[in-house]
Amino acid sequence: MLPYGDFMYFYLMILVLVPAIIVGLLGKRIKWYGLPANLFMIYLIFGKSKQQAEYLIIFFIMEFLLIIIYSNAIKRCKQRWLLWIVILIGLSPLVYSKLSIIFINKELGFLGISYLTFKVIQMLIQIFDGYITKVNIFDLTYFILFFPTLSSGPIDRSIRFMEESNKAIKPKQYVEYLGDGIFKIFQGAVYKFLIGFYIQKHFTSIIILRPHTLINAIKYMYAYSFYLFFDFAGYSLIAIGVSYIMGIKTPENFNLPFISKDIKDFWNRWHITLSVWFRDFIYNRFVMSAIKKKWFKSKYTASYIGYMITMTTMGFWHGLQLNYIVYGAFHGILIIVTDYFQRKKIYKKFKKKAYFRIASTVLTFNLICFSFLVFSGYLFK
Amino acid sequence: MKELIYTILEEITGEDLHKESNVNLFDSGRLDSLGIIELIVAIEDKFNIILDPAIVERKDIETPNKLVEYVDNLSSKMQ
Repeated sequence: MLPYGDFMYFYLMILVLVPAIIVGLLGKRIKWYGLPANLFMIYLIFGKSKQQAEYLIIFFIMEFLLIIIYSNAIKRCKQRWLLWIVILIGLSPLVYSKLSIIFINKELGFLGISYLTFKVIQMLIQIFDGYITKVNIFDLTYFILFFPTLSSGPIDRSIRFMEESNKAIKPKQYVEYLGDGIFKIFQGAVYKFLIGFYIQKHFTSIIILRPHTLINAIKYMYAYSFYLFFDFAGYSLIAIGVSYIMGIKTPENFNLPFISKDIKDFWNRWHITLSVWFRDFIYNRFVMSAIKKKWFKSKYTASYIGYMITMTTMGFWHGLQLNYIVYGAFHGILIIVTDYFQRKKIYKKFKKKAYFRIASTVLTFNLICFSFLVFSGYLFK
Repeated sequence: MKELIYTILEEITGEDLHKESNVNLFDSGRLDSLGIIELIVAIEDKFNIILDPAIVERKDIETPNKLVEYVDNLSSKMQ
């Protein structure tokens, strides 16, 4: 069953959520109910697909052991090369899965592998950094397999998640969680099943069949951009809402991305948990090392290379197909150009003018839509 | 300590922020991804503390006042 894919899924999910709500209203920790409930939901999602279920089980056992072993090994060997090795091992199932699409045209993996991999790598890095010292096997299982966000995020952080899942919420406070959660689920359903579905049915799925002319490409570009937003932001809201009902405040993923004033602003508003992850664990670490160890003459060079590495990696993470890689690199270039321009006097002179801000927002919107056209693969067919 | 932080901020943003101690450094465009790294590297260097951008939340240091408070707390914890 596809998570949040049909009425049956929602129906069974509500049945699973009812005991969680009762536990929550009694002011008890939901975690101990959440663990078996999780397993049931995962069975529901992958039960009919034996192959995906097998890959998930292998993935989970492997990453689980990796984290447990590394959290013990770090006490004896705090070398950076060992961190690199464990990261490569942690990434290997994802790489295998992405390569399989290219070489045998079939995905050998399971729905959500890209997202679960983020959680694993974050834990490995923060074990190295010394922020994660003890790993409880139940907390680890619950974090990695937390069903509301299993298939497509939002990407939570283990330290925050484990702290929250071990905290009992007062009944009065839980009522707020519940109210917010239900509201988010409804909002998300309107986004995804009404607006997103409508755009897909009446625009994207029709335009794509027409000849690929410039006019059709432009129509497709805007339709697809709005579809992508409403579908993904809608899904995210539902996933966040369900998390709230499970007593977990999963972080927000979107904040009005189409009104971004520039491309850097966009990445603070679009797929936020993904971009913050990349910023924290790739860009920041690279630029910090580069500045401390003086790898480049100019700090701006360090930052530009950092942006390029980060955004291209993001492209590769989406998939090894050309459209994804070009999408990532294109955003890297856009950020660099924006950054360069924003340090010029002319920008500082005009940045507060209303017409400049409007022009900048409109330009940003169109660049974003163009990047989504690249992302969609329309141009490569 | 407070003065030193304002000096660091001035070096990075090019502006004296004494009169804007409650202004949001990120929303006003004074600190971007690179700026925050420079800030952290400078604070680590001057105050001999360790700050991790993956742990420090932007909202904890979004204004000069909050930044001073954050560093103050952290350095008293480390001693």
